[in-house]
Parts: sequence; C-alpha cells; structure tokens
Amino acid sequence: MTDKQTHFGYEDIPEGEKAARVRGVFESVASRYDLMNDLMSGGIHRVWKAAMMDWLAPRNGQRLLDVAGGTGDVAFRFLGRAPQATAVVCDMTAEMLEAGKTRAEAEAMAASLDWVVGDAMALPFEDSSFDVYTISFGIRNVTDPQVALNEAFRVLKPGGRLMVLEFSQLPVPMAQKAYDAYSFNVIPPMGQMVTGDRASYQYLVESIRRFPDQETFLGMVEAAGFEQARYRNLSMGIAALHSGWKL
Amino acid sequence: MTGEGPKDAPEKDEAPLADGAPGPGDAPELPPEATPADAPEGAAARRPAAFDPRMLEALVCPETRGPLTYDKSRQELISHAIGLAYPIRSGIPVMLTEEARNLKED
Repeated sequence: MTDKQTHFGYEDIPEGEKAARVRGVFESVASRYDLMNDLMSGGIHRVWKAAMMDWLAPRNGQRLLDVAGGTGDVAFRFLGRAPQATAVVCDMTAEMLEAGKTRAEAEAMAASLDWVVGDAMALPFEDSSFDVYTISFGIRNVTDPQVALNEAFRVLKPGGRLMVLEFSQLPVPMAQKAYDAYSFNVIPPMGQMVTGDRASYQYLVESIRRFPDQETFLGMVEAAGFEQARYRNLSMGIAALHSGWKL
Repeated sequence: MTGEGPKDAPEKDEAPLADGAPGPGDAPELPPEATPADAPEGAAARRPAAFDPRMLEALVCPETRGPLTYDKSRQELISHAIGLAYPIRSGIPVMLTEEARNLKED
C-alpha cells in the first residue's frame, strides 16, 4: 500500500519495486560483472579496494560481513590479508554469489568463507555478531540506504567497524562535468558490448549520479549511531570511503 | 578478479608453500589440468557444494530475528515462529521472505 517513491537511476518508482528491479540488473550482468568493473573504471576499482583494505587493516580472528558482496572480491582481499579471519558474503542476487563461489580463491578459502542470499535492509544475522561490516559499490542500490546503515550498526559488535566504498561526487564542478560526459556516453555502450545489456549500465551511471554526496552520506552514517565517522576521497571523489565505529 | 597478486599484498620474503597450494603469485583462474576424460566439461562440472550446518549458528530469520532449524532432506531453514521455510539452493541459504515457502498454506 505504500505509494512512497524511490529512485531507480533517473526513474522514480514505488519503493516496493526497487529491490526486484535492482536484482534484475545484477542477474543480467552477473557472469561478466568483474570484467565490466575493470573496463568501466580502467582497473581503478582495484586500487580503490586496496585503499579500502589499507584503511581497514584486516586482522586475524576478525569476522567480516561483506554485504552486496557479489562475487566475493572484498572478502577475498580481506582474507588474503588476514588468513585467520572469517567472512560471510551476503548478496540479494544468488547468481552473483554462485559466480563468486566458483572462483578459484573461493575454493582455496572455503573453510573460512560463507555465502548467504540476504537483504541489506533485513539482515539474517544476530545482533552484535561481526567485527567488520563492508559494503562496496552496493549501498547505492539499496532501496533505503539509511535502513541498511542501521542494520550494519545492529549486527556489528561493540568496537566493530563499518566501511563503505561507493561512487561519490567530485567537489570540482568542471571535473564533475567531464566525468558525467564520460560516464553517460561511454559506459552504457561499453556495457552493451561486453554484457549485451545497455539498460543495466544506463541504470548504474544514473544511480551513481543520484547518490548523496560525501557530507550527506557522512550524516547518514552518524544517524545510524556510528562514531568517529569520517570519509576519504578516492580519485578526487569519483569514489569515497566512509568509515565509522560502533562504540 | 585476481587482484590478490603481488601488487596488492606485498608478501614477506619467504612463502613456504611446499604442498603445491596455489601461491599468491600464481594465476588463480586456472585449476590444475588434472581432470581426466570422465569430466568432459572440466571446471563447469564442479561438485555441488553442500550447506554447512555450522552456519546455522550465525543465521536468524530476517523477519523475526529468531532461530532457524535445518531440514536436511528438503534443504530448507525453517522459522517456526512465522511459519516460513527458507530454501537452500546450491548450498547457499536464501534468506529472503519473498523466496520462502509459507508453511501455513500447506
């Protein structure tokens, strides 16, 4: 019965429809998602994820929940740096998890890695059960990011750490203009070529542009209850890392 | 992604991986060419991963946040409090209410 509207790229759609629409996007692109990320960002997303790990400084014994973890990229990196840690990868789209589970790293790390289909806004995990919560290029696809941040706070242990990697806004208007030109003119045709699905990549670039800027999102992190909330720009603000602690 | 190579994670000088485990510098996509003729599809015909009941300790019903019980034969996780059975597909629990079977309708 809710007539509340939310964004799906530049379309306004009823909130109840967003999850299914987003899932459609990722089901469609799952098998070539990693390749497409490489092409879209010129490989830069690897540098960003490395920066994420540098700031997180994974430690052995920690338990990580990687939400919207898709094909497992962040979890593999985390366990690569802390082989005695454990990780749960949670994603709305079974196809993405299955793609991740068959990767060679997943086999090597199988004993410390679990895969769960779940919703960032209603996590199937107990309160205070993780040391680290990460979400990488996922929160902008969640129907209500504030609810997802609240859930992150709930499942983290006291002393636990939140880290969000997401596309953001460039603080310099000229640079933003050039970046928009690139993303709107280059990425959808590239998506068409690589995955045969232009519409999904059109959605991706629109959703990036609509996502809250760094300061606004920082306020949302704080509203969820996190302390010492901070952010770092990556590549001048094309992406940003937000960090917060549950204290 | 194979970004776990030397570029991201500088290794210590010695990495004693004597047992042929894939070292950090190896290309992880390629499984060893040890699959004989009985597996014609090669990597595509991987074993179906089973659900690990150890995971039950960590999972709750996303609706009630209450405990789940594991029905091994049906491959379902049951939330008795609201009568929902969450499916396990290819060893992966699907913890979405819209994918769950309503036990009260049976």
